[in-house]
Amino acid sequence: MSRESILASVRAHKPASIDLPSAPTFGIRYEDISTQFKQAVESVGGICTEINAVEEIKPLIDQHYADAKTIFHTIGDELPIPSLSAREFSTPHDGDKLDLLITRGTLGVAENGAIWVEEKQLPQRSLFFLTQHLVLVVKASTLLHNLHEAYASLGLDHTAQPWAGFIAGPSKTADVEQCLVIGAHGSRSLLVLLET
Amino acid sequence: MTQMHTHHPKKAAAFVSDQARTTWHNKALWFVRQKRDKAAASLPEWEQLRDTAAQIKAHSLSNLDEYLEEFERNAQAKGITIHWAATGDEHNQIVYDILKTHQVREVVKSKSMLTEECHLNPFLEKRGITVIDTDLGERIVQLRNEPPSHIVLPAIHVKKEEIGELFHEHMGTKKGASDPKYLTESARLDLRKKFLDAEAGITGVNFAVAETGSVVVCTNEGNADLGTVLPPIHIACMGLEKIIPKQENLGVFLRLLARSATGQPITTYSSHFNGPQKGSEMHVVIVDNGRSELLSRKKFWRSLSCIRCGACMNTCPIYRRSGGHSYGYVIPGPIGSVLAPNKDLAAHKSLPFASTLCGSCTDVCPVKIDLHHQLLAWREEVVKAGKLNPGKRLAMKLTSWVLQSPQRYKLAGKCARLAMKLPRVFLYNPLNIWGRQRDLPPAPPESFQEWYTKNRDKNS
Ligand code: SF4
Repeated sequence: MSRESILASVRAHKPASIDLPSAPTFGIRYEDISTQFKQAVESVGGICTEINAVEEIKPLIDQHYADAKTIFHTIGDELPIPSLSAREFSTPHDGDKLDLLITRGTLGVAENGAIWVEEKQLPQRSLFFLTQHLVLVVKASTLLHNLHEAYASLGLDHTAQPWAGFIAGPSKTADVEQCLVIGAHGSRSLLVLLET
Repeated sequence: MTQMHTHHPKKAAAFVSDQARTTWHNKALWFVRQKRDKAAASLPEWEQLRDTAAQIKAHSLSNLDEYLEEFERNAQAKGITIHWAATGDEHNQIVYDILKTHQVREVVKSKSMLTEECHLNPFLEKRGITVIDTDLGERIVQLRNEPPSHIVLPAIHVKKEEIGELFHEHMGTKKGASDPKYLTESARLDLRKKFLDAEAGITGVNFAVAETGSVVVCTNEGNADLGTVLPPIHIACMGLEKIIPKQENLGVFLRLLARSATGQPITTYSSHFNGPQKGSEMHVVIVDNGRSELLSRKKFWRSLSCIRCGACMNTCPIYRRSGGHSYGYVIPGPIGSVLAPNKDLAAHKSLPFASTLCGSCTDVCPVKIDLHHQLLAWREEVVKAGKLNPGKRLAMKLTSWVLQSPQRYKLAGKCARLAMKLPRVFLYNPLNIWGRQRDLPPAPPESFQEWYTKNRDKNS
């Protein structure tokens, strides 16, 4: 079987062992982490607005997504926006009908505007990618300066579910003559609500 | 598909003959290079990051067998099926067998240079399976029946008017339309249907984490995510060098990858695939295809550290002016030119010479591969193997003879400055390969050495 022959070949050919460097301690830190995070979200094509309470979400949604008809959210009863029932999404394909998804991010990264999300927070993870528009609510207290800090804080627990990852901005492409177009295959926009 | 064999100067000549396009291509890539510079400059620790990344890769490669086994164990524990392929054909056969078992007729694929290397698409198509490339740039080159000309920007050589024409033909967009927004939207609608109908999804792998058995895939478009979440089968194909030891190492690589590639601080989606969804299957195919042997080549094994960011091509003066297809290898640019000769020295002997050895590639490489040194080392291999063409052989012999003696060097400089004043016909004749697409600058009145001798005392 190729497994054995490949491993044998690697063993026979590999160079002398070189040490693994220790975990970086040099990650950039910002004086004003919220401002930096907001700028980073905007630099990756998103919009970022600070809110002080969940009550402020509805008017913002009305303002940004007046046309959204099919909405699913995981914010709970505090958010007075009617949400489709989780039962409507029994297969990954069911997400295709979604105009707007509103959900929380576990943490935000100031250096690049990335927000960590996990499969288990949704009835189907496909909703992250099939929804036309995406709103992520992130607590300011969860902001970290850089990715080194983010991975240290995440740990390995998330790997017990099939998928988790960072989302930074809406989907985009520049494959037609290097001209940036927002809205490739995933969400057409990303609104980040930074809860202070 | 172009054939896997090159004479770089010949193919480059075809590209360069369209001067307007060459200039446009050159500028487009230089713009990406400048964005990369800005992104790198935004982090004071950039050089430390590069050092760390280079070391992590060197460590992983020098302990690769152990990490491969660790990865396999952890991935299997999560329900992922692991396959091993010694060659490209074996890889293709494995993918085909999985698809055949499930009677798959249509598969969506996100960007993977490995499947290009193995020629997976034609293999599957010959056997009746339709492959749909879903990265917009890859879709464009697929519809044009071409290979990608760049590893991150596959359609960088194509003009928007040509894409408009192509989409008109294949997707029924308005004739003459060339607005990037309109064309992208049309492709989105067209491919959304294909994602929803797909029976299997194939992706590449950016990083495979040994300690968790997870694979990480980075995209901007979201195509890898749609292509894996909708169909019940996900096949991830990776070269065995993609392994990194720990999840925390991702912090280092994700910080470097997008900044080096396009100047973004990170890609839109950095997806961690930890195992199959409920009711689905996930397969990882680990491919050798010459990589394990490359590990033993002292001068060249570090080229396996490459994270395929494309920065070395964006910065390369030759790549920018000759286009990716002129390399005739699946990976173009400086990294392609050091990888290709491993596969077939005779077929790719011109590639190590497709460089000015300016070192710009080495300067930008996020994992600090000594690209221009490797290019030089490959030139030596070409010479040793007696594969150099006669014109170059003579020129190199002469150069080396001149450079070995300071007197001869000084004399040669004087002669050259005189020669540059000769009528054009003496210089631009068919024997001068170098002069074909180039003009000489006016000859300076004196050499640097002469100038320095005269001026040194004035300045001190
Ligand atoms: S060799 Fe370095 S610069 Fe070139 S693609 Fe690979 S990682 Fe990027």
